[in-house]
Order: sequence, then C-alpha cells, then structure tokens
Amino acid sequence: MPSPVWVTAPCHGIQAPPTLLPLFCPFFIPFCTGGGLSQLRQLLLRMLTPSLSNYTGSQSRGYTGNSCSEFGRAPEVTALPRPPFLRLPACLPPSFRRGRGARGSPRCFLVGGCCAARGLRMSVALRRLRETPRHLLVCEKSHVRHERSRHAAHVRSHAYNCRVSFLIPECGILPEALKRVITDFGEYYLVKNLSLHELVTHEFINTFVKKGSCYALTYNTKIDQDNAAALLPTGKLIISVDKDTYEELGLQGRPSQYSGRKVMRYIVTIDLTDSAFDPDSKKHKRVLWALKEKKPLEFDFLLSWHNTGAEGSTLVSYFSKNQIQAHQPKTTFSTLRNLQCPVLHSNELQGKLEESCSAQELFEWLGAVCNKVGLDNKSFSFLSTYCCPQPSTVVEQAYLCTITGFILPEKIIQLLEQLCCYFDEPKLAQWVTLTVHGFADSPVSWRESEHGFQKGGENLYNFVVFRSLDYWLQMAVGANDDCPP
Amino acid sequence: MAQLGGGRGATPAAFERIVFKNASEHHYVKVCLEFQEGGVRLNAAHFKQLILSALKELHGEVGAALPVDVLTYEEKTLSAILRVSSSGLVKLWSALTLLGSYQNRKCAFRVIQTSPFLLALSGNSRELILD
Amino acid sequence: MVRFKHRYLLCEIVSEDPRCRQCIDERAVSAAAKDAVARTHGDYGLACCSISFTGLRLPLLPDPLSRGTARTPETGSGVAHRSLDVERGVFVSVSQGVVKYLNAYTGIVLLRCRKDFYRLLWSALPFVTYLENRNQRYSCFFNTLHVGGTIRTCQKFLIQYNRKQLLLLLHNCTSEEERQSIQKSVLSCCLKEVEEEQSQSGDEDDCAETD
Repeated sequence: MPSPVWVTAPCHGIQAPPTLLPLFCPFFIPFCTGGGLSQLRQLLLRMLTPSLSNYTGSQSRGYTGNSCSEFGRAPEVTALPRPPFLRLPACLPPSFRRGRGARGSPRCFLVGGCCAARGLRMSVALRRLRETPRHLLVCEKSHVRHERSRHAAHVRSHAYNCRVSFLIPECGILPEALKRVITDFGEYYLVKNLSLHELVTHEFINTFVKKGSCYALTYNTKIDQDNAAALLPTGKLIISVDKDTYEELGLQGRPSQYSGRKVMRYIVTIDLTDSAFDPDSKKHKRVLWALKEKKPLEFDFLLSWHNTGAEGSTLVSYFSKNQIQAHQPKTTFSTLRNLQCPVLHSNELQGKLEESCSAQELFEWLGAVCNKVGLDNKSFSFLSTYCCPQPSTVVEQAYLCTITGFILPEKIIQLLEQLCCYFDEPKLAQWVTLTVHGFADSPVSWRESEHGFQKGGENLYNFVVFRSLDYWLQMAVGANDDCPP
Repeated sequence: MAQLGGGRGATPAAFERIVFKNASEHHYVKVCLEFQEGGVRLNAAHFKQLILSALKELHGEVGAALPVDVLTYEEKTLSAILRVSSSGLVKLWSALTLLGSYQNRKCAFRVIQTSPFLLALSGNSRELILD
Repeated sequence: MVRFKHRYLLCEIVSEDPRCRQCIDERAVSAAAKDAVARTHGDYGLACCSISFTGLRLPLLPDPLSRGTARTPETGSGVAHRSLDVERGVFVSVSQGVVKYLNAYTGIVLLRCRKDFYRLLWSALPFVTYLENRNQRYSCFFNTLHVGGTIRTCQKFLIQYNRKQLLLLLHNCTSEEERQSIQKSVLSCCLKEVEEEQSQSGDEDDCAETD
C-alpha cells in the first residue's frame, strides 16, 4: 500500500498553471499509482502541451496579467498515493528531501508575507539607537482666584528652587510693587562642613524646624554619585546615600526607586517633628548615634529659614561656630526688543490651528527666549531652522528678570501674587510668565517624591498668567521622577 | 468664585489637566568644544560643519541627514546649544563623543547638559557657584 | 543553546551591460555591499554588519540553489548550463563573509547579515551603483528579491521566482522553435534528474526505460 502524498496546490505569487507546477517540484507530483517512467514522461507531456500552448500561444486565453488570482487561492489538499519509483533529487538538503508531503502537513511557500511581518519589528540594538529617556510634561489650566485652584500648593510643595525668571511683554519699567518683591527676596546661607547630626539635635529642631519653615539642601553634591541630604519645611529630613554608606549608617531606609535591579542607593527619611522623636526616645538616640559616631556625614549646606515671627538672623548666630556665609539672590534684568511672541488663548491649552499656540509650543519658545536663541530663522538656513511658533505677534519690548539662588517657595508665591496684581491696572500685555527651576541634585522634587538625575535631572515649572487671571501651569520632569502632583 | 481681576467678560477657565508623556519632538544639548592647544577660531558655520562631519563619519549619510540645529553659538567659548530630533539624540551624542580632531588639531566635545526641554537648559543648578 | 539568528537577503544584480556578468564574484560583491553600508551608515553600520559577516557552518552542498535556475533559452540544454554552473559560475561560501551564495549567470546573490542589523545592510543595498573588478567598473544595481530567516526559505523562494521567470520567457517567445526549445530544455532538465536517480537505484521500480 503506497503512502499518501499531501499536495500543496499553487499558493502565493505563483503564476504557473497548476498543470505546469509539478515540473518544478517533481517530488510533489500527484501521480497515479504504478506506471513506469515512460508513462510519467507521457503524462508530463500531456499535461504540459496544452498549458504551454495556452501560455505562449494566443494572448486572449493566456495566463497573463492578473491570472495569478485564479491560481492564488487557498491551497487545496488532496490525498494521493505517492509513486513508489519517484526519488527526490540528491542535491536537496535532507530535510527537504524528506518532504513535508510524506509527513502530511501541507506547507505553503510564503513569499512576500514574511518580509512584511518582520518589517514591523525593529531589532533591539537599532531601537536603542532611537530611544530617549522618559520625560513628562504636565499642563494644567485654571483660574488664580478659583477657590479650588491648587497653584499655591504646587509652588509650596516644590521646596528647592535655584532660579526664578519672569517675562512681561510690553513692559519697559517694572512696577514698584514688583521691584519691592524682588529686592526683598531674602538671603540664604551657605554653611560649610556641617555635620548632619547638627540638624537632628533638639536645639535645632526646637529653634528652627518647629518655628517656621526651615529649608536645607546639600550644596555641590551630585545626586547620582554622592551622598545628599535635604531638610523639608515639613520637618522631614531626607538622606540619600549610596549602598556602602547605608550599610555603615545603620538606619532604616528604603531602596531608591530608580536604582534598577541591583540597588545601589537608599533613601532614609526621618521625621524630626514626630512625637516619637523627642529627646529621650530610643529613636532619637539611635539617629544621633548613627550620624555622630557610627558614620559621621559632613556636607556643605544651603540653608534658609522662613518664619512669620520677628526673630531675624538667628541662623547666623546659631551656626557661628561653622563657617556661615550669607548670600543674596543674584538678580539680572534685561529688556528684549522686538520680540516675537506666540498668540495664546487661555481656554485653548492645546492651541488651535491658525488661532493660538499650544502650551507645549509656548514652553519651547520660552526656553528659546531664556537661552537667547534667534527666533527668525528661515526653513532653508544652514545653522538653525527654529522659529517662533505661529501665529505670533511682535512686541516692541519685553522685560525679562532672572533671580538665581536658593529661593524659597514662599517668596515665589509672593512674586506670583504680585504678577497677578500687575493686571489690576489696564496693561498692553496679554499674559506674563513665571518660570521656576528646581535643583537637579535635590533628593526630592514635588512633595516628597523621589528625584533622580539620570540624563538631566530637570524639574521645573512655568506659570502663564493671563490678563483674565486664568493661568496655565506647566510642570516638566525628566526620567527619574514621579509624575508631578 | 471670585470676580475676574482683569474685568473681562469671558468666563474663567475650567480646570483642565493634560499629561504629555515623552511628547518632546526634540532634545536639546548644550555642548562645548575644547582644543588641546588654544587659539583655534571657528565660526558658526564651520562649527556646524564639524558636527555634520562627525555624524557622517560615525553614522554615514543617514546620520548626516539628521536634522541638527545650532540654536546658539558663542565663538569665544566655543559653546553651543544644539537641537536634534529625539530619535537622533543617541546618534548625535555618540558622534560628538567620538570626534577627535578638527583640521589635524586634537579636540573634544564636552556635553554639558542635555534635556528634552529647552527651558531646562537656561537654569542649570550645577552651574550655581557660591564662594 | 542560543544560536545567532541571521537574515538572508536574496538579491538579483541587474545590469544593462552584459560584461558585468564577468565581474560578479564574491570579492566584488562583498566589497560593494560593505562600501555601501559604510557610506550610508558610517563606521557604526559597518561595524554592526561586520560582526554578522563572520562565522557560519554550512555543509557543502553541490549547488543548493541552482534548482530551477535554467533560464537562458539561447544556451539550449539546461543540463549543460547547470553543469557549467557547478564548474565555475556558482560560488557557495562555507567560511566567513557577507556573500553566502552567488550565481554569476543569473546574477543571483545571497547575502547574510546578523538579524539585529539586517536593516542596515538592506537599506544600504539600493546605494550600490556599480561593481568593480580588476579595475573595471560596470554600473548595476541590486534588486532585493527576498529576505529570509534561513537559506532554505530563500531557496524555496528562488525556485518559485525562477519558475515565474521561466514562464515569462515562454510568454515572450516569438517563434515556435524557441518555445519548443524551452519546453525541451525544461523537460530534459527535470527528467534527466529523475532518470539519473532511476538508474542509480534500479531495483525498486518495475517500469520500462524511456526512449
């Protein structure tokens, strides 16, 4: 009993008449049982002659053009006995010789399909070449006087700010009230080689942390390689340390969110205002011992203290033993002439084609203005093709003020209030912007959410206050950051 | 709700929040070119040409076709802010790193800062120097 | 056990100049391909493709891809043509290199590349404009017919492709003799094979010999 043969009929892309097909796959020929080679030859000739004459003879009946559709249908599988005399050519690889036929699984020759399917995926190596780290931009719009507006809370929860700048279009001279706010931005202090345990002593906690908002941040420490510490106004001390220090320190912490599979960084959070942290508690003693004797940590600290009471320069007197320097925030002013400004509509956060620009476009434009990038390039210019988002208007002059230092959120709220008051009197400007940059190396960004550096460590936000006191708030973070609140 | 400060007739904007994830089309790179021996002057066009040649060397014609913009260039310090489409950041960065010479004079690019937001380049806290 | 995955690019070298056929050899083709990769993707692309140009064990087959390559009607017998192929026109690489298989008569080339980077090679191939051999330059271009994961899928494709080509030839025949000669060559090609094997293992069949 001869074994059956599964025959795959013509499939994709074969433009041959089915009778011609066996010619090329002699090992798949559905022959009758028995018969000799002469019979085979006759059979072949018989099959071939009509189809060839069809093919080459009259064009009208020929298998031309889209004739493949006729044969391109799904394979028909037929069980036919395999001729016992037929051998597979020797030049084929063994797996091919065995033939799908004998095993019984019909197989199509997928021709074009496989390329297309593979084209969808790019290899990992080439994809890596195109990838960039994650980044987020959160855009909000609301109204300053809205009772549920969270703008002040957003500002307050972003504790460490290194630069504030605001831009007022159509403004030549700053109003007195704004000037006063800028000059009264308060000083901050740099304390060199301060032991960390000084910040957890009860004297310090009672004089500063519990009486007002005390801000402290290590200076010139890189969050991705050094140890760092920060004291939040809520009384939380956050210490970000590498693995070795953490193991020596002996304090309870948690692994950093962004350290990957192999944890190399730990975060220790100590609540200084906690009731369990009173002078005689075990916890306090343990922390003091760890920071004083077990692993003394020393940093340069940026310090600032905001209190509603009258006590003034106690930070200076408190740290007089250490080198303490007072610093004033550096302020620079500039007036930009003939500045191209995008047109904004407070209700169109995403912009409208031909009518107003989106928040993202504004964000880029503001960056260009702050970096003094030329805005009037042509599409064909060699150096740069950046230009102001459209539609735009040209304003005669715009006032750009930048304040650099260790700036407290309280001061920023004051400044924001004053900027809102700018519109109390009728003004030409449609909107003003206020940009705040955070410290790239602070262990937290908003609230207590962990912050890392990765490629840029950016954490910044920008207010656009419109004449109607609607505002846009844009908050941007880089790869190692939580989504802003 | 309080009255409008500006006295305009429009209703105050309702709260709306949009989160853009990885939406930045471009990345911005602040770079600085250093020469082993000083005194090399380079104008902006030559500077860009140098960057393009670095790209062409490492990534070929395809790399040289990347849209790279020199947004600002300071001839005195040889520092610049470049803009490149996000998918080309790695190519640009690697090409800059592997550039070794300009007109047979040894040089190196230092990447000072990189960010998906141009605004972030204007406030680098690592440049805050107090003394 | 993890194997390195490859992609095989089955290409046809198309040239208007018939003399171009002479200069198709492994060195010229791989030099042209490498040059194109280096030009379009730079040092990075060349390095990516170079690591994939090395190392493969392929059992030496008589001529794995030449089945169904009988496509030149003017040479008369396909058998003669094929044996000629085996003699000198066909290159099958067993060692290392970008070119795995080359048929100078049909202009068919099989290139191999590591799967991760085959896009680099693939996108560079259209930029090949000439082949250079012994200081002679012939303009030509690469027509990628198929991209496959194994040599076998490429072989299957090539068989089908050649079948289509043959039908095209038949279709383009102008006279009855030409058509006859093609039919004859096709027939002799196929049956010769069967016949040869038939004679080798004669005990199994019960049929009479052919005329």
